[in-house]
Amino acid sequence: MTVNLIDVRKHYGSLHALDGVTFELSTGITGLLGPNGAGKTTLLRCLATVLAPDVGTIKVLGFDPDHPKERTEIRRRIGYLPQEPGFYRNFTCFDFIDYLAILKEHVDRAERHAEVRRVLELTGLSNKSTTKIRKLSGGMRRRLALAQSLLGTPSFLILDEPTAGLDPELRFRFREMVTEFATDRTVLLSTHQTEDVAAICDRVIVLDAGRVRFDGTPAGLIEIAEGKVWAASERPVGARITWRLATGEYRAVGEPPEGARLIEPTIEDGYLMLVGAAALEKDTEAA
Amino acid sequence: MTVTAAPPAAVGASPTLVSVVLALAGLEGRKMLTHPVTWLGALGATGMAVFELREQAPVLNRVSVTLAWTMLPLAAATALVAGWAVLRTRGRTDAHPPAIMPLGIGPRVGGVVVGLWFPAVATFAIQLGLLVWVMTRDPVTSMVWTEALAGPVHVLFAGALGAALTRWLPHPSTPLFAVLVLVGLMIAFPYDQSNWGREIGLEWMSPLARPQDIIPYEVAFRPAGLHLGYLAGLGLIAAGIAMLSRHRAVWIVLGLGVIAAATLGPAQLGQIEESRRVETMSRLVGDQADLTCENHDGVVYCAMPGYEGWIDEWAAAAKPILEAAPPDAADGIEIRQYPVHTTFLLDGNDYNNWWWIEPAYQDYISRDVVPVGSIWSNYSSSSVAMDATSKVMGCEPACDGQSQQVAYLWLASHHPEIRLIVEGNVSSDGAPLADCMVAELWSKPEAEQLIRPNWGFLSNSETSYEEAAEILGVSVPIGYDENGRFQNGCP
Repeated sequence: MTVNLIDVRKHYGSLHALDGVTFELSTGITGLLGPNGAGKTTLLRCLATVLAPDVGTIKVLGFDPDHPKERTEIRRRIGYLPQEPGFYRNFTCFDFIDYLAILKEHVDRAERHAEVRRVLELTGLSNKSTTKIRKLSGGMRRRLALAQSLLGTPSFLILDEPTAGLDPELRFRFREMVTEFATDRTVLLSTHQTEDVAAICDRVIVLDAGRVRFDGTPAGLIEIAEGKVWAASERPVGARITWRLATGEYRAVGEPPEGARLIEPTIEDGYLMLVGAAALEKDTEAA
Repeated sequence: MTVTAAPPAAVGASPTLVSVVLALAGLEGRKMLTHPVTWLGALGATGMAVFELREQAPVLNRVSVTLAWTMLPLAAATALVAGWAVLRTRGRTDAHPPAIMPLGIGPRVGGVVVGLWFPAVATFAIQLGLLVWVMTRDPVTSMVWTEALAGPVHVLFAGALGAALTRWLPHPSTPLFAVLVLVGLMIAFPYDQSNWGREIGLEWMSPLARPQDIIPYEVAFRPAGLHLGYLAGLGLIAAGIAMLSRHRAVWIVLGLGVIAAATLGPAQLGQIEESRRVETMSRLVGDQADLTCENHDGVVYCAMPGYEGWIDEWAAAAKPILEAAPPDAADGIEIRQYPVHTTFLLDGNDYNNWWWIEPAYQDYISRDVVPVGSIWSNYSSSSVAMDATSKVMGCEPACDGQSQQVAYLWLASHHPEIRLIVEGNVSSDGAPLADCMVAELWSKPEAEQLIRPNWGFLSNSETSYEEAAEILGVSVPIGYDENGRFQNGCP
């Protein structure tokens, strides 16, 4: 088992960012979905050892991040792509990754430089290695941040919205790279891109209001919306979520509108059903 | 839910801390070296050194000290970039990639501190470049490397100070504060002619030379080797503080450093007061037997060890004077180097030292000996010519007043470089020069014929201007107007 979390809680004042999260992770890619403010980033930071939970137990690769020495051992073995990583604008791409490689204790100069070139190649930044970071576009910076997380082929890779800002071609390359990477390693992928989850994750966890709402396979998440996704020629009234398709039809998730035709759900529909239901519960509780 | 943690993953052979710090130092050092602020500092240091050395006679043991203190702009720049490097390596937020890297903050700061050898080596390289330039100007004596190396050590100390302060106060303005501390130390505890730093008894704390023009800033307040060690010790304490910071061991380092400095500093200074006199005297005055003498056209020129290269310069400067003087007046003249400023070298404020050295002057300076004067400043041939003229005139210690000055100036005018001094209304004893008389005399083609036969009369201090003017056929200058105000004007 790569990661164990038992009743992990973290709050900021009265806000419960994590409210009793318990799960385990093992080899493979796990998608982490959830609305904004669900606690995803807080959870990832706890796993990446930059944040300590208020309550609960976390074990990463068998080490306890509460203990400084074990925390260091975890850091030697994980890769972390923060949601909004800071950069040194005047560093070149190569220097930036090289610097972080040293901080990750890659001492041998030749081996380290080979590793830096490898991760730059993986993220398609080989031709930008001598470019200053300040001259990179937003997407390129995202790739650079991804490159640093891959240093040393970590046993546990934590990715916080890795495909945000990437063009479609790079997203496909990313999927290819991550799936190859995860054959014998663990990846936790937090994203709002449900299609990425559907495409590469063998497990998905939905977090909402600091709690695990769903923990299963992507197919299981899709099942939630089975028989609840419709296509109608008129804008349906009373549907939970609806939007107009390019064909002119309206796609609705929830109760069937009149004259609607049942269609195949996607993982996004399942997620919307789940999160929508939770929102409804919340509204009801509030009322 | 009960979960049994998996056994820890196998740990590979972790690199040693030293190897990681050294790897980081390579990168940090390169970053500091290529930082634009470092380049600005290097430019400032080089410019300051060129400006100073351009005006200095190329005396290498003096150049050594100038090469050290002129590197202070580079030291200040290093304090800034080292501080910024520490700020960077701490990480700005917990979302910053360095925040989850396994290398701790102490070794990271250690990497910055060890990386300071890059700018230090660059400092040394700049010094070498400047030295090559100085060597093209026929320098004398030899380099005192322990003094020159204070330059790179200043850079190391300033960098470590910047790193230590920024480690403690991680704020973007802290490196600038480190530079202010550096400047403050320099002003408060200058190691040359100190002001209130000495008055409050803390001169020994001084880590830096003050870049100023007080004579002679080139002599350290403690022997160069000891000062180098003292600077390196301060640098090590700053580096220790930077690397340990909040660790409790930092207090041990700090405590030991303060105790060592407080006990060794004053004790060292006490020893130096005595040793410095003996050493400086030995080095600058030496024994008469140490002088190297050469005969040029019947005139003997003697130089102190290391200054032999200047004898040709002196001979060239004195020759036209000696040729212009009546043969009897110049007969038996010997031009000998003499450390006029030795008293200042010992201690600029303590006049006991002045009188202490004075007997050395009396011992070997005779009426027939031209003392070439200050070791440092009398390299210029005009000064040599002035001294030679003064001695040929029989002035002891200086030409004082009346017609003697007319002859003096006439003689001096035989060397073109003397004209500037003559026209500057300068007299060795403060008496007004007879500019108008001399100018009128120089305009006469028969000036030499007028002076030579009357040499004895004109060079006699009893002879007045009026009497000299009558013989030479020139007007008497107006010394004072009817209100008693000094005029030094032409009639």
